[in-house]
Amino acid sequence: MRTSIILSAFIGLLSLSSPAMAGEGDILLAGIGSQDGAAHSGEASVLHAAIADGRRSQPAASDRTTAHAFQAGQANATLIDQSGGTNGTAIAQLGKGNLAVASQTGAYNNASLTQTGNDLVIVSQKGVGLTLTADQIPDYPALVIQQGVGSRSVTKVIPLSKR
Amino acid sequence: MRILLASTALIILTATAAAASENDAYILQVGDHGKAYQTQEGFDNTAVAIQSGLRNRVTQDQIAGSTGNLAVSLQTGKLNTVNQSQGAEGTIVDTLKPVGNAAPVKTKTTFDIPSADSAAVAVQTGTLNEATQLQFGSRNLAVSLQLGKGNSVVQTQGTISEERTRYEGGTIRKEVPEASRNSFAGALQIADDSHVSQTQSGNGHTATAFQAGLDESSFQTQSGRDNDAVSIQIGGASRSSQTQSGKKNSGLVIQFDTENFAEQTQTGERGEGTILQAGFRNEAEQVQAGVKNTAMIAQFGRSNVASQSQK
Repeated sequence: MRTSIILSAFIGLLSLSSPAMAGEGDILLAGIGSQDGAAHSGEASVLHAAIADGRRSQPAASDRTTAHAFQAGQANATLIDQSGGTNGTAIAQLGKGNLAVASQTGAYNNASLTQTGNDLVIVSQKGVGLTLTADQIPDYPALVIQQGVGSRSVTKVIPLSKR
Repeated sequence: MRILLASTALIILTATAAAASENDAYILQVGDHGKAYQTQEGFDNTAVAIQSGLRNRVTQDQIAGSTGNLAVSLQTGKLNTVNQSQGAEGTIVDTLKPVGNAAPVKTKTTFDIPSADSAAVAVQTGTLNEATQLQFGSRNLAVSLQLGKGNSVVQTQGTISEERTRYEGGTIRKEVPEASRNSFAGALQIADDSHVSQTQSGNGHTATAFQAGLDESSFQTQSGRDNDAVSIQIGGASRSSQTQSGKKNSGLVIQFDTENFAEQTQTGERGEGTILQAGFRNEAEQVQAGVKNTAMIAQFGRSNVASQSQK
């Protein structure tokens, strides 16, 4: 609770002086923590990777180990590595030339990645029951690797050029 | 001028404390290479030391079941040192006489004597000064204010007690978690090259460090539960490191300017780590081991790097 208040105040303060964030706050906030939503469209592209079949039995959000990263600016990089079950990752990057990398190993993991600059996203998920549907594949350079049993397929999606 | 300022401060302090504690001790030293020792036992004591000059040293010990004590040190100048301790380490020696003509066997055990509701305050202006504050027990306050370059603060509250029993064949060691709670350690440092180290064990402690300047460093270590660590750094090329173990601990680092580095390591359950950085070429790193932990990084600027690892 205290962390949320501090972060909200900090983001609000900096948004007043940051032209790059003008009008994009809603998109950003929608990106962070939208772990059960469909892919966003418009300015911010959201890559959402989750376990489809296991969702009903996923623990509540408060019981989840979570990592949030928010970056506003250029040439930023985020690297998140999670192992174990019931993890959640949310990355939001506002600006250009950014890189987001998420690696998750285990069951019941969620990853939500948002970039307004449509730069490069790399997601690796290893576990059980992984699924990535076609509409969740981003339309910007991305490398998505899923490995595990019980998945709809063991998939490697590498759309490194815009569709 | 220096004598006038120090004298005025001492007169004000003695006047305000006239109707106060059981025992009051005041020392004023002006000049270089001075040494002041103040030792008090019991309750509601006050120790004040004021030094002005170079290479001065103050040692204030408030021991043996101390409660409601106040230790204050004011120093101006260079290369000065403050050592303040509240609470102490006790020793028990047991002598066993074996049957027959064998020599008696002595066992030695050490333990912590806690201090409660006490305050240690160190104020230093100048360069290359050091303050060390050690408190055992609960509800203590340690505050250090430093103005000048190259100063350092070490604050320790509620140490893990260690019982050591020596016997002929060797030593038995046993760590005993000291029941330390709800203490506050605060450090304020203004100017470059400052350093603060804060260590707390127990529950419900708060460690806060505020540093303004270049090349600052902050190290905060907490073990137990419901502890909070806050580090705020304004200036470039600074480093903040927070290590927490236990349950429901929270760490917060805020850094402004360029080429700063922040790292948080949390082991346990329901920990919260937050790093906020504004500037260029900053780096944030979070490592969490356990369950139900939350890590959050927010960076504003260019060429920043965020790294999070959860296991």
